[in-house]
Amino acid sequence: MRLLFDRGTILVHDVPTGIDALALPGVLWDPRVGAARAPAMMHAALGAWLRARRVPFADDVAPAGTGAPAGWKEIGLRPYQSAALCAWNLGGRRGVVVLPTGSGKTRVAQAAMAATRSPALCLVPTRILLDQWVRALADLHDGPVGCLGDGRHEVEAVTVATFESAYRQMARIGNRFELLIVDEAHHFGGGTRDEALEMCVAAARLGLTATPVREEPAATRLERLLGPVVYELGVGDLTGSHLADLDLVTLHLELAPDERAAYDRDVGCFQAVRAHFARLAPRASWQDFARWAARTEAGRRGLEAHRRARRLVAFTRAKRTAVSELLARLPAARVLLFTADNEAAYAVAREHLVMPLTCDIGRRERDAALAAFREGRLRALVSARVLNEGIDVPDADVAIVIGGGLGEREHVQRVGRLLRPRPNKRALVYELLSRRTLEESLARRRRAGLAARAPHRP
Amino acid sequence: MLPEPLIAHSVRDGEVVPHFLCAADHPWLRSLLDEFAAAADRPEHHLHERLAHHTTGCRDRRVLAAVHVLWRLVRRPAPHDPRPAAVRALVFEEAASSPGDPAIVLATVATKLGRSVAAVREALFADLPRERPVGTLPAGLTHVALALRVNLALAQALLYRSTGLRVALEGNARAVVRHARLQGLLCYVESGSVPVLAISGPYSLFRRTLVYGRALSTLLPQLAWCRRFALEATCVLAGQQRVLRLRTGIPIPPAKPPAAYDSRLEARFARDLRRIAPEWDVVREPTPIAAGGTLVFPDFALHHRTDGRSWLVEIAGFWTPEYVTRKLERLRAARLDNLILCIDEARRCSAAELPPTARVVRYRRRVDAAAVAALLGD
Repeated sequence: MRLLFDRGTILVHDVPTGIDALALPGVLWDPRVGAARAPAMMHAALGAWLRARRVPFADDVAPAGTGAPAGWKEIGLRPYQSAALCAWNLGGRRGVVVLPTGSGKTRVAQAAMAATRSPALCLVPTRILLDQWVRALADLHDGPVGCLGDGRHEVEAVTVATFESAYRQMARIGNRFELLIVDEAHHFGGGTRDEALEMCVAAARLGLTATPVREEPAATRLERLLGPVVYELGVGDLTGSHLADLDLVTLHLELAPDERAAYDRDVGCFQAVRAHFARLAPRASWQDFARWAARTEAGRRGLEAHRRARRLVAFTRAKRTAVSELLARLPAARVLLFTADNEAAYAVAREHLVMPLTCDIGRRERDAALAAFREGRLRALVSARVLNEGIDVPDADVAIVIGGGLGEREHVQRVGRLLRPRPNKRALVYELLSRRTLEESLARRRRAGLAARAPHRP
Repeated sequence: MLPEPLIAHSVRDGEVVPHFLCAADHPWLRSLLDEFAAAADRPEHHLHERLAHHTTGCRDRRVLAAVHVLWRLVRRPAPHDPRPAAVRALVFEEAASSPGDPAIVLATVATKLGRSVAAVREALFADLPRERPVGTLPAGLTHVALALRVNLALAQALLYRSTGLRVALEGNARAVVRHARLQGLLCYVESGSVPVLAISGPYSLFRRTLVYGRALSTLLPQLAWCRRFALEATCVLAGQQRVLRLRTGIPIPPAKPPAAYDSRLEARFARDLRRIAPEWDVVREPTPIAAGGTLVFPDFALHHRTDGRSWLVEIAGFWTPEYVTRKLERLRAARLDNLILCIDEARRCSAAELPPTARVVRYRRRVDAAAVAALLGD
């Protein structure tokens, strides 16, 4: 019997008489090629099944000349990082490690790569993180570090790829790696792009996240793809020791009369449509509503009104004044400002001359801006989404959350940007909220999400 | 690729009906082209505002799709002077070192750069969306060509959301199959007289994946060169599975014309044979033959002009040994009794490897058309 890698799958050839190929784990008969086929991620299970039954087989899945990675430099771990690595090893080198933002998840991944000494593929969600991971791995790995994404196509024994590149390329490279590391693993499990993990043969799998997936069926699906949560710590477990202490201040702001009138008009228009749909389909999701609304004139007007209302509260006149005053009051602080969208980020950048970090800013300029912030040549950065996740932001003391639309997960990630510890540091988060708007319920959900992970104070 | 909300279509009995642009749409396409031409070198937000009266509250997704396609076609303008990134670095660092009135900060930087405050203010975000200048459209882009491009984008966007397709085709089948294989797809012949190709990816066996959507969508311009085709795909739109049917005659532009011959060797052989045996029609790319679940594409068919005799000619050229082995396997499976196989001497195929019923002409560098003509039995 022969196992061959075929574009993200395993082909089972030359099945000996007496063995039912379709009894092998994950195998289906493929009439298109007249052979048995299994998803690539079943490779280890296939091997184990055949060995358990003493069926001789040739494993020709890995390409010829696949080399092991070069050596790794000494990687020092904090006690909780060592514990996370140990838990992952005990879990059969499969599973998700949940650690708060700023606690060094990348370090755990590097230690896992050094410990396994296997060809490893690291998946990251954005091009910004791609660059950051390549640099972090190059510092500790003696050999070259490959890169897939952002216009680069270099595959090495240790390679970093964006989710998007992995989704497109896994059919070609899925047999080259024995260890798969997924940063911000909560992006998977929802069905979209899960193939990137299914089409890889790697038996050892490590997921990293600060905000694990708890909703079903995504949680079960992610467990199938990466393994269960093997280690979990929240912000509260590390604040004061490995993470800075944190204060949250919410500023409740009023809309100006003309803003209030425009807002109420738009929200009224939207709510009428929403209420009508809720009567028709009480349990339908927002996506169902959006699809339904897009089909009628009134529905489209409602959606447009909703967008206008959100745009309005994203950066109201009261928020503009508050940002101005806070920046003036905190002349020595390093400040991160978070907005709901790029438009608001550019508005802040123009009015307050704060450097924006958005997806439109190129890599070189972004790196220069982060270096300037680190060295104190810039005192503030404003961003809608770029700073939300993973990116290694230099030490900051204050965050001003002007707006956000992605809920609890986004908020936890944003607050995590401030938690890098320093002696006597007390991080401060200002949340700007427009009274009697949709923001109030969003903020309640955000705070509830953070409370679950926040320091437990007596 | 067109985003899903811009795919103009309706659904009838579970079937997606794409709303292609036609001659009736040419007037508004012309006015869109005029808007883009007039906006060249002005900031993008001016064009967005001008386009708003075409698109705000627009129910016709075809208009939105045309605007989307036009934005993709616009060429990048020359870089702004002074360089916005350099201006940003100066302005924001100046603002950090001497916080205060933004106007004073801008004036300080303007002095440093030897420019006016207005120029500094304009340069600050001149490379970012909405602020950067609109480029020019490709020369000679007419409203008719634009309509075809929008239609292609629409049909490809539907195939991009498909899990696999079946296509019955006549003519250009070889190019379609070759293209599909190059894209990492599997082609499987489903039925007889007119071959129906089922095209999907290996992983499609396990679930309805959209991972091959991009590859499937690239087949469409190739199909436009087929004499006749009828395509049926399963698309996922708004979370629902729909059937998409496309036929010969849909208004899309074809890809670059397929090359008449795969190699100079074949071109020279066809020319020589037409000269030596004028009573035989030399047909390039005859009807493919189903063999072992796939298709065999003989390089030539030779039809006698008067007595109806015909032969198939296959030239196994300079490829890898695995390729030749696979090709010979298919030819053996096809059991053709009117096959002339021209095989490169350098391949050193033994008689046992060759299809038993085939006449064989061995060649070196050039296929001897006279040797082939001798086998035709004149």
